[in-house]
Parts: sequence; structure tokens; C-alpha cells
Amino acid sequence: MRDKPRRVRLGQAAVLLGLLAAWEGLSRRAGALFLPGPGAAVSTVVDGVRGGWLLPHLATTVVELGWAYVWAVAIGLSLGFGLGTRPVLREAYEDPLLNLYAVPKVTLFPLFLAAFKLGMASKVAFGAFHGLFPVAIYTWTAIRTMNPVHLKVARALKLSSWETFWRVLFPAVLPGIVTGLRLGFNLTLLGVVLGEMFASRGGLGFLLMSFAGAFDATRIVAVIVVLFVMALGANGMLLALERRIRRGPEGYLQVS
Amino acid sequence: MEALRDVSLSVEAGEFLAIVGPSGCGKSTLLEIVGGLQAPTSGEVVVLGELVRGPRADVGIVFQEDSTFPWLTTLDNVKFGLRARGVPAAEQEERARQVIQLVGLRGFERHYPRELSGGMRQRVAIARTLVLRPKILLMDEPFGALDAQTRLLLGNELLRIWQEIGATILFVTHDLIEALRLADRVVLMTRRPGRIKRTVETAAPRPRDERLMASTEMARLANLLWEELREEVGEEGQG
Amino acid sequence: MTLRRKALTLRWLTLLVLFGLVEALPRAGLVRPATLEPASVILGRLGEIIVTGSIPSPYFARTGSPTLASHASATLGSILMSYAGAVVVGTAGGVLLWRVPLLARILQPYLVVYYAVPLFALYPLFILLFGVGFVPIVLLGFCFAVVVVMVNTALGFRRVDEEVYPKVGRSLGLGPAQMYLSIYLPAAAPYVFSGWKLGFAYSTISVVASEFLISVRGLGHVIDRSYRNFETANMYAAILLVIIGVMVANAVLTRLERQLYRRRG
Repeated sequence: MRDKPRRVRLGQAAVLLGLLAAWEGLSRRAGALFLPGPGAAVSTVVDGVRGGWLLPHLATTVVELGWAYVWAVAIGLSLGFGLGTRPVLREAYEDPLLNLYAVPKVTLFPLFLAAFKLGMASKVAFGAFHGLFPVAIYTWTAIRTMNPVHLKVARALKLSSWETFWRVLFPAVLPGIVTGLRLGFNLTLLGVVLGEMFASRGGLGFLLMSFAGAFDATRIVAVIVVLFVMALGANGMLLALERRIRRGPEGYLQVS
Repeated sequence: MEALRDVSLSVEAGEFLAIVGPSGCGKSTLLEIVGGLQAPTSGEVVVLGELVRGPRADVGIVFQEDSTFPWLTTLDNVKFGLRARGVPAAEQEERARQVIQLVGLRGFERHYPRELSGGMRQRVAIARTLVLRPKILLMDEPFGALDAQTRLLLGNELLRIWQEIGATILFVTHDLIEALRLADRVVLMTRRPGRIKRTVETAAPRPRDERLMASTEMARLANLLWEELREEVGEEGQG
Repeated sequence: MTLRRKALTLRWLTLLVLFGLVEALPRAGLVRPATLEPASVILGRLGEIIVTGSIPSPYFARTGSPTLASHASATLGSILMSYAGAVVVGTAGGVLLWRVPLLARILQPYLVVYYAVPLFALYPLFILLFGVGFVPIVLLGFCFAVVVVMVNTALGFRRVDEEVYPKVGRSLGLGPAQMYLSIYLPAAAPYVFSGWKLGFAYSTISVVASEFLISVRGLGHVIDRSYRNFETANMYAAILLVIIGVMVANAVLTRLERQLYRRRG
């Protein structure tokens, strides 16, 4: 990371501490039963691991997430390259797909349940359905906004198809694709968790709902902490990858 | 990073002064300081007997990039400064139309910048500045983004306008020949940190057509400036 | 055939094929009615619901909210409330981030990962804290939409700063109020509006998903209940209603957005 002035680092630490302090404060106000504080949350997580109710569900979620992401990337990249390289397809499907992006995809979950039944498969499919959109959109946009002069240069240098793809096309579109991969991951996670919350017998989302039914705020918060830490960890890695590839000025990283 | 050092310049009223120099020599910075958009770290600028502390009503600036507001028509663009100063609407209308005619854009009042060519947009920007009746006009490579033919055309238009309004013009350009063709005096700056290297007087009647520009005197001046400029750029290139 | 014509034909063909499949598969018995009803039946049911204004279902009649209006207004109300909050706070926050670059630099990593965490996990917690009803739905919708508005607003104003217009304003001696009103506002408008458009989509997604999960009212709730009661035709009709509604809203906002960008040239 570029050297940040001390003021910025101090400020960031201050924000983090402030958030934790606010959390603790709210917890005391609302009562620990309604909203456990950070300390209680962490100890509950540890209890959960020891007590055995956390890890199996965490494993379920991770497995579903993994498969869903693989599918999201595969379908997203195919769609992205298809629409990126064939103007007819893009002209036909870009607008409807962008519109579909804004639709609450959760309303289509019953379709997934009907097709894949109650097991892991429906969550995997649902998560993939969420995540493929940013991957595809960023991919075809990256291809479309690539400077056409690069291809002319490749032709002038008489590069083979493979060389053109690998040494010209691919590096040119990679930055855009990598951003799409990151945002796709976030949406896949959201889709998987949503699916588990709605209709599942396992997974962290399922835990959230069953603890809600049992009015167990402490364990809910513990699960939230686990989810958030997982998401932040994965994003940290993906961001580092993105920064390495973009190597551009910090500042305009895509948020969503 | 220092942009300028020890620049000392005085400009006569009604003079057309051109400033040329290698890229990055600080000519734009100089103009912005005179225009009050930047403050010098040391020294002072006196315009019409008064110290420059900020942008002034009697000094107008024309920028190199297309600075016309794309969300306004030509007429509204030109009226913009008048409106900001609270000039009554009827007077705004009259003065704006007059200046639009002066820059040769009559009939395009209701057009939006995206419907105009690059050269026309610069005319709108110039009109927007002229309508405020500045005594001094600062122009920062105003034709730099345009093609060579339009540059020639607008240069002549500028001379015509200048002769009508009689303002003082400081004209920054990278084009030596353009400077010699338009100005009374040409100031050559060194590379960064910019200093004034050389000043020449053109002392030739206008309009300066091709024949005049090819005359021995002009050729001598041009060569002189070329050599001095090459020194500046050459050193950089070998650095 | 021009590209455009080919593309449109392709689009219509795809729609036709999809429609055909949805019509034929259930009718041919290849798909059970609990999974999918024929397209014509779904469309018919949708028409019926819109025309009569009520949902034909013993469940909804029993619970005393059989009308389409009661659910649609609940959904719309939640969306608008959370969206209004997100626009106000998000736009103000965005301007603040632009005016105070230090703050923007400090908050940047937090803003970038904001949407990485599944915010939806907060919904069950909100329900425990505030009970089932409007509050958790609107609160979550606000949380979802506010940051995208903020980030786009800040970005928009920053882009204007990189352009020549503020310099023109300063050279003409404009006062701060004039700078904002006659330069920053029109120049940043299209970028800010893009943020508003995204914010609306996010509010909608969050509200409908929340209603889908746990609620007593709203279109998402209707879809959920119809699913659980095996009223498949109602379910698909409601899904279609939501999709059409969102697409129309999105189309309107996109049209407005294009207008704003066109004014910029």
C-alpha cells in the first residue's frame, strides 16, 4: 500500500475504535440480551466452535460459496466474453441483462427451489445467479472499452491468434475483469446467505433464522461476526490482487 | 516544484504580447498568477496600478481546454459572467448578442456546445470573456486544441477583434510562428524553472501574410527564437 | 439487416422461446403444476389480480389483507422511505467527503468493503431489536442504499474539480454560492443522479427481499406466502408484477439519467 500519512492511519484506527465503542455503547443501552457487545460476540464465537454448532454450518456455507463462485465466474466470463466479442449479442442482450440486475433476484428463488430442491444445489445455483452478473458486466464492458488500436498493433506485428489473445487482449481487459470478480464474489456470498436464510437445513444463514426464532440475539451476533470476518478476509485478498493488477492511482476503487 | 524563477515583465497598455517556451516551462502558471488564480511565492503583480490579489473584473482569461458550459446555449454561455455580476437582463441580452456577432457566431445563439465545432466553441469562450469588457485579455494556448487551419483563421479573427476593442493581450502559445504572426512582442522562456530568456519586437505591420512572414527580417527573428528554444529543449533531451 | 434490427429480432425470438417453454412444459406434464404453471395461466392470473385489485387466495382472505393495494402500497412505502433517507444522507455525506478530502481518505477502505459483507445478515437482528414490521425493513433498505449514493456523489463532484469549469467560475469572480449553483450543480448532476438510480435499485432489492424473508405485508410477502401455500399461479403473477414494476422504474430513471448526460454533451 502506498505510504499513507500518519494522520490518515490514525484516523482509520480512530474510526475502527469508534465503531467498536459505539457498538459497546449501544449494547449497554439496549441490554446485553438484545444486543450483545463485541466482547460477548467473540466469546460466543469461541463457544460455538467448542460447542460444535458453528463449524458444521460454517463448512456448509463455505462449500456452497465455493461452488457458487466457481459457477458464477464460469458463466459470467462466458457471458461476458460472448457479449463482449459479438456486437449482435451485446446489442440484443445488454439492456435486458442490465435491467435484470436491478430486479430483486430473491423473488426468483422459488424457481431455484423448484428446480434444485431443498439441498445445497439450490443455494449454489442461487448464489451463482447473483454473482455472475458483475462478472459478466465488467467483462463485456472491459472488452468493449478496450482501445481498438491495440488490436491494430497486434495485426501490424503479425501476432498469432493465441499471442494476440494472451499478450494483448487479456492484459488489456484484465483490470476490468478483476474488479468484476471481486464484486461477483460479494454478490455470490450474499446470494448464498440469502438462500440459506430462506429455505435451508444448514449453513450460517440457516443459523441466523433459527436463532431469530429462538430470540437468541447473542448467537445471531456471533454468526454475523463470523460472516463479516469471512467476507472481509476474502475481500482483503481480492482487493490486494486487484490493486496489484491495476497498479493505478488509488482512489477510484469500485464499491459495488 | 518550482515553475518560475525571477520573472520580471512589464506590458504596455494595448500591447499584444506573446509568451512562448518549451513544454512545462511555467507559461500557464505565469498567466494564472497574472490572472489572480494562483499566488506567487514571492514578488508581486501590478495591473493598471493595482496589486493583484485575486481574479479581477478587468482581467479576462481564456483557457486552452474547451471551457464552454455544455448545459448552456451559446447565448447563455456568453451571458454567464454578466448574470453572475447582476447586470440587468435586457442589458445582458444586448451586450451578449453584440459580442456574439463580434466573434462571428451570429445565428448560433441557441446552439449547444455539442452542436458546434471546436473552433466555434473557443469563439464562445472568447465571447464569454469579451462581453465583460476586460482591459486585459489573458489567453492560455487558446487555439492549442484546434487543427492548423482553424488556428490560422481564429488568429486572424483575434487580431480583428483586438483592433476593434483595443485591449491588452497576453497570448501564451507553443507555436513560434503563430507568436510572430500575431504579436507586437514575443517573450521566450527557458525550461523549468522558467525565466525570461529573450524578448524580440516584431515591429511589422499587420496582417502578416505568408509573404511578410517569409521576409528576411521575420526569418531572422524566427531563426533567433528557434535557436534559443532549441537550446532549452535540447538540453532537456540530452539530460 | 442492420445490427440493430438483428439484435431486436434476437431479443424477440428469445422472449418467444422462453414464453413457449413456460407455456408448453407445464401443459405437457413435464413439469408439475406446483413448480410452474403455464405462461398463459400466469398472465391471466396477473391480469385478474390487477383488474379486481385483490389476490384470489383463501390465505390472504383469512388474514384480512386480500387487496393488491394493501401490499403494493406497503412495499412502495418502505422503498420510498428507505430511499428518501438514503438520498438525503448519502448525498449530504458525499458532498462532505468531497469537501473534506482527509475524511474521504480515512473512510476509503471502509467504504470499499461496505458492500462486501452480507448486510442482509443484519435483518434477523433488526427484527429482534425492533419487532416485525416497517422499521427493520426500512432501516435495512437505508443501510443498503446509502453508501452507493454517497460514493457516487463524492466521485461526481471530484470529477468536476478535475475539469476546467471551476477555474472558469473563479476567473469570473463567482462567489461560493454561485459556484455551487451555477457550476458544480449542473456539472456534477449526471454523476450524482447515477448514484440515485443505483440507490433506488438497492432500496428496492433490499425491501422486497426483507418482505420475502419475514414480514406480514408487501409484495415480497405475497410471493413468499403463495410459495408456501402452493399457490403457484399467484406466486408467479406476483413475481412478474414486481419484475415489471422494477423494470419500468429503472427504465424511467435510465431515461432521465441519459438526459442529464446528454446535457453535458
